[in-house]
Amino acid sequence: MQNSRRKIIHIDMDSFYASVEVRENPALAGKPIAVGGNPQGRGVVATCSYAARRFGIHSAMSMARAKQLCPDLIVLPVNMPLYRAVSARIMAIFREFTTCVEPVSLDEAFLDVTHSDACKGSATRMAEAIRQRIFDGEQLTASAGVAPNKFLAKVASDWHKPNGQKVITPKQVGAFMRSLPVSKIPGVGRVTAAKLAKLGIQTCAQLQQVPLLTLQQHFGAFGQRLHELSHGRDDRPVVSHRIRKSLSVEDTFPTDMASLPACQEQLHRLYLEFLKRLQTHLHKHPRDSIHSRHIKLRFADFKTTTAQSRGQHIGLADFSALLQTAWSRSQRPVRLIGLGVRFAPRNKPEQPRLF
Amino acid sequence: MKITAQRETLLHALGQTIGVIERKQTLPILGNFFFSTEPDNQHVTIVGSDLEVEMRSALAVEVHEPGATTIPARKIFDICKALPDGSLITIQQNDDASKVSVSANRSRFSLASLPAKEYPLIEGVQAVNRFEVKTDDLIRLLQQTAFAMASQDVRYFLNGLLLELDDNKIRCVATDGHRLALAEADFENTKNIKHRIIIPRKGVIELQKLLKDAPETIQVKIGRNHISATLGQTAFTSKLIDGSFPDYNLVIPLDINLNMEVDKEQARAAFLRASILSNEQYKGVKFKISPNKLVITGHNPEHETSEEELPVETDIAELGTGFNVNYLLDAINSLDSEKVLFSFKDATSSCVIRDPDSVQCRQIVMPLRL
Repeated sequence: MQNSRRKIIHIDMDSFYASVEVRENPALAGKPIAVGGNPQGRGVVATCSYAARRFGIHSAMSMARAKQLCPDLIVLPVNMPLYRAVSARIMAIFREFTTCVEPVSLDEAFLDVTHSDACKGSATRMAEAIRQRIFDGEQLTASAGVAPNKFLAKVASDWHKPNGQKVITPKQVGAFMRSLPVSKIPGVGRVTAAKLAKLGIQTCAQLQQVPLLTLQQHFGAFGQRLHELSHGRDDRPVVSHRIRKSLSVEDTFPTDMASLPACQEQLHRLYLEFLKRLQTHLHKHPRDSIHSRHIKLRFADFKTTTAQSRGQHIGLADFSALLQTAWSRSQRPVRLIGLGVRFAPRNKPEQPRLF
Repeated sequence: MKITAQRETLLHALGQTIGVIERKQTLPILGNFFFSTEPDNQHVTIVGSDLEVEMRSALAVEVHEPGATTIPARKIFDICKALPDGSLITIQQNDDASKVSVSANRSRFSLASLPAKEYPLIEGVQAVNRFEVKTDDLIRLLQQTAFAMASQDVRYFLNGLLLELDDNKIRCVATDGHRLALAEADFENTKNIKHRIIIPRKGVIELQKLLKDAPETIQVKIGRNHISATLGQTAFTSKLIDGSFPDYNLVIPLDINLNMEVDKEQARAAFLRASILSNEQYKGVKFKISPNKLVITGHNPEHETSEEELPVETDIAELGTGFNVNYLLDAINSLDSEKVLFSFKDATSSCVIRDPDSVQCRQIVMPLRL
């Protein structure tokens, strides 16, 4: 249905949270800044400016470590409401070009512009126009990738980052893939890359030579996908109405919770936060019904465990019982608690009761 | 204790009782049969139990030495099965109380025993009501309802079957909350008994097995917490579920005047085919009824589809609804008439399925919202 005839744009805002902060306070321009948690505690870097990246700082790094790498780092707290508002305006720009927009996060989206007439149907021009519109409206820069599928578009948007764009035409796919290092494939992280390196595979050209069966033996179900991606093939459609399958909240504590009662106290606080989010969600999606509840615990030794139970009821007692189950597995200080629910799949038949 | 039994007689008695022995026991002794000679010194009674259901079977044996013991159930059963036809089997409790020996022809076995006095027998059920029921009636009532029992539902009283005596009827009702099966038979209620009990699922299943070779009538005794039935040489006792069963009268819909009659075999075959391409979990199929025609369509998450067209006799102008096709199959399989009647009130209310000429068995199925 799609194949090489599709035109997909991937737009990725450049260091989004950090850039928004700089825009709000121009004095920060060009300085190493990081948005995220408190460096005294266990905050992590959510986003950092390009100036900060030159010190080796990257997102998900602990803020304390970032501060070590760059003592002059300016740490800013996360201002989520502001980023959401900016994101909503940017997403609205995308929708002027196509109705088929799949937001991946606040700062990233896929657009299927195959059937769009804007810019005389040129996806390249559309990507340029979108980036210009974002810059004019928000004084923020974005990078774009234009390609026949989502995978290639995502790889392309990273190519000339920041404030750049790359086009991969269907004709260029073959040559492009042959030169692409496997580490550029989304989903191939450090572990998979190392496994591939052991097999003597560094580039997609080499990956293409590996029989599918061998890949499946080493990587299971991901083997098939690796094989497809190594040839630049990706049939995933751009899904404009992604269905939320779960909703959860979690928190890493400044210091570990040493005992179960201490955890229960934190759970109570998180539970209230969760209820607020759930209410907002159910207000928008009144037909969603809860399928199961879960608790996630990360212990001081970074071991993570989850406990879940089926049921629609979401009282504090339900989560409290799960917390107890999960905690009793290790009985160690806890650094993170998360709780949430999974929703029942939509559009399934519903069997009403007789009584 | 020392007895000699004829292999086939013993095997039959063991076969009647082995069904209650669970593969994994809460108490080790529940993995054993209890053996005890009768006071007449001509019979031995074998007991198997899981604390909820107890089966007793008596058989004629030669008693050399009266007494009681317990023997690993599965092992003695397998040994008896494997011995040659017509063997005479001698079972003896050794001087060492922890061993039982079993011998026949040139085969000898020594099995571990546990003390007979520790066996948890259900003793002396005080009868609140006693009655006699025709075996064929009870077989039919259970066969038409037992499949609808819930299993492991939190509403524990649904994991069983309601047995009700009322006026001149004996009635069985089972439901899992989505469908309900009701069957009744005429009953000579000379003592004007009114009684409602819930028999747990396992008790129902074991009772059904026993009824296969039961005499023409069986004696039933209902106590406060137990029901027991005597079927010739075999006695069955089950605990009762203490709970209140849903009022089936509220579930049976009134004003159901949209009727459709179909050939049972044709419907069964069509339902079976439709079920192949229905969602595995919900087994949903769509019904579209129009004059003289029922169209059944099914589809699965892979978007494969099926369509079945059935000739029907109906005065329904148009009705669209949906069902879990397995519920429909269960319902019509329980009926032994050539035709079956589906009665609807509307697309979303429960549907009644029965023999067009009888209301003795009614199957109530809630539609699916598809």
